[in-house]
Amino acid sequence: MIRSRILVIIPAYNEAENLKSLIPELRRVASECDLVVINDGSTDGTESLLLELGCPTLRLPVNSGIGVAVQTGFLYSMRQDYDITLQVDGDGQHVPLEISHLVLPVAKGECDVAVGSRFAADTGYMASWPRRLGIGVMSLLIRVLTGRAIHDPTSGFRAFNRAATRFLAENYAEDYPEVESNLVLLVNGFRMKEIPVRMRPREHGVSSISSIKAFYYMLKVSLCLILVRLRGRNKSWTV
Amino acid sequence: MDGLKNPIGLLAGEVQPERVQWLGLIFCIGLIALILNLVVRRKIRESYSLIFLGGCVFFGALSLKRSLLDLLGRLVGIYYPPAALFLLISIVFFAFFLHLSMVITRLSDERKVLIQEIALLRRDFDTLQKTVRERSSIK
Repeated sequence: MIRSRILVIIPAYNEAENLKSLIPELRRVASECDLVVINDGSTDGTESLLLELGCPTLRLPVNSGIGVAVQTGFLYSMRQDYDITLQVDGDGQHVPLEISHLVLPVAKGECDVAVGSRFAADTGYMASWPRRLGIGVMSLLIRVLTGRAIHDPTSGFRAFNRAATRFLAENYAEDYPEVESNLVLLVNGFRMKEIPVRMRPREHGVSSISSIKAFYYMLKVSLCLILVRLRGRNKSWTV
Repeated sequence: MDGLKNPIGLLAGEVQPERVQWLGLIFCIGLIALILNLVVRRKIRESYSLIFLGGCVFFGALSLKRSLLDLLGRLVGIYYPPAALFLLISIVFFAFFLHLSMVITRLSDERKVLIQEIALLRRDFDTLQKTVRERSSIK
């Protein structure tokens, strides 16, 4: 059996403290995977840390947001001809030991996209009630628009096959992109599977979604979801 | 143009529509000078300056000839002509801001592609540099 070439893409903006432990852990646990960190114009010494760790890096010249960073990772994966692309957030919340659970269904061809979910089963993840409420609303909206149940649409812990990688390299939202990209993938006929995974709280720094931004986040993502549904399938694309 | 001849009227609190017309005209001329200056210094593109220059000429003409404003009011069926002017300005600005939003969106998309290409090329360059270094150290 030919082994799949797997690339782990890690978007990071000022995550030096978290990357310090995440990169060695990934190398230990997922040694068969290649890594690339997309440094989104960090100003906290991320660049020198990655150099010190000898970690392959895609350096965005200016801070451009999580969407641009992740899409750059997809572009790189596509051009380097990887079979599977795995997205892992640079904040250290995703447990590298869970990678194999995400990669396996994609490698076996059971689905095009595997989404690591905190809520598909009881994983012991404790989220604050506003966060749970927001995720619940997004999940409900996706269910209404597509008829599909995605319990954790904001999860950035996902594995993609070649076709999904190629699709997202061309179609990816700039800010708060996870929910929108899940819907776009579903609308365009990609097979998605949720895999229950454990996640841990972030050790250092603060989330990019502050309570002030939460309201804007809800509005913007809700509007985007409805627009994606209205646009329908991307006509220049066939799965 | 009694308003300018009789500045005492201003102190007496009289309504001086001609003064407003003069102010409007001076403002339009000043704005035309500013826009031309910006175009000469390449701070604004010719295509955008045309919209502003056209607007200045139009509002300058309205300042000079009040009957134009009355005509405009009658044309759109508004009894109070300044309200017609307000409506026209609102529509023009709305259309222009919409146009600018489209321009900004296009520029943002192009900027994104450039940023991504720079990052990918930097990576290729780093890899090449590393390979060259390794080869030269072997020699």
